Amino acid sequence: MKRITEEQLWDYADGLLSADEAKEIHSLIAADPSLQKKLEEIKAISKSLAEMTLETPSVDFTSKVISAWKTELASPKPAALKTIVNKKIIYGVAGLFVVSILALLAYTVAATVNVPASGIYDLSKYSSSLPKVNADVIFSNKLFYQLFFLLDVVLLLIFVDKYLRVKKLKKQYA
Amino acid sequence: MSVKLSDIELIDLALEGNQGAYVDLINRHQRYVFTLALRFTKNREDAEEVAQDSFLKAFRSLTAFQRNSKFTTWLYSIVYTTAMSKLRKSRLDTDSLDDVLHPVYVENYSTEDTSRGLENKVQKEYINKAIERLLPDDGMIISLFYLAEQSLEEIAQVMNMPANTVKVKLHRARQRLKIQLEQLLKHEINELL
Repeated sequence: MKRITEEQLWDYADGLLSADEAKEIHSLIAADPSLQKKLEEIKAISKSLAEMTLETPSVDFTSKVISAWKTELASPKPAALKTIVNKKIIYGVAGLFVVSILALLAYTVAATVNVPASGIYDLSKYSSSLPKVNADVIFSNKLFYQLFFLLDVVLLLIFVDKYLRVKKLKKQYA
Repeated sequence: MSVKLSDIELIDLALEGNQGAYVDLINRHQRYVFTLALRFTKNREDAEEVAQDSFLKAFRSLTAFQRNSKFTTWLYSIVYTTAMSKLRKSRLDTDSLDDVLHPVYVENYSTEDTSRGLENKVQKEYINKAIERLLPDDGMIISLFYLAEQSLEEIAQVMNMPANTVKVKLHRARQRLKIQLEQLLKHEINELL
């Protein structure tokens, strides 16, 4: 004879069994008075569990919550996160870079090009010494595309990171 | 005849700025929320703090409430996470669910000791005492299933775990409850003798 577990009896009492399982358990219980008795006992405990006493918070619970909620609504929402780094420092660093690049450029030009007396540059004499760039070679280079793709991925990750951070902040301060 | 508004209707009113709707939501659910919090904290002061925090969190995210589930399921999930955080902060031992409970076959199983001596009011009193002695997760699952009438799927949503796991946990919780009831009854009988 098939044995019934305690779990099955509880599940039967609580209606957690499938129709087929319930039918099988039902027929086993119907044929066994001791199982019927045990089922009744389980049902009694289930009933008591369903009728457990709900605990009651303090009398002023509602007013305390409402008061806290009103205080929260009245207090200004935290402003959007301010940059921790002073903007002047950022501008300073940017300016330094620009000045450095311009100085480097000026120095390079001054060192390589002699200004003709006429003030007009004849670039034709340089054209033969300029390196010849074959665009086809660059664009057919696999490494070029890989680097380009890598750059795209990095940019995408930066964008997604920024988007998620903004979303999180919005949720936090909603 | 007074018309009772549904939770969703109250939420809509609350979102429109109706203060009374917030009061009604609290009044309607405070006892369930407080009882569930108490299953974790085991003391009324902390339970009240958890309950209050839960309501405030719920109000804060009311606009984010997806109406594809019951409001109570959503609210209880907030209570659960709030209570868990509180418990973690208190560094209490919460999880002893690793111990294996073997199936008990009906031939060896007896509810007689626990249910025969328990009648009506006394039975409820003992069950409440036994529930108080349970581990937080056990008390929570039993309360959600029997008291708050949440389905296994809804409890799974509240506790953020698969429904099958909830079913196993519910079974284990019942077994532990039975053990607690037996211990309580033995103690009482010894007292009487």
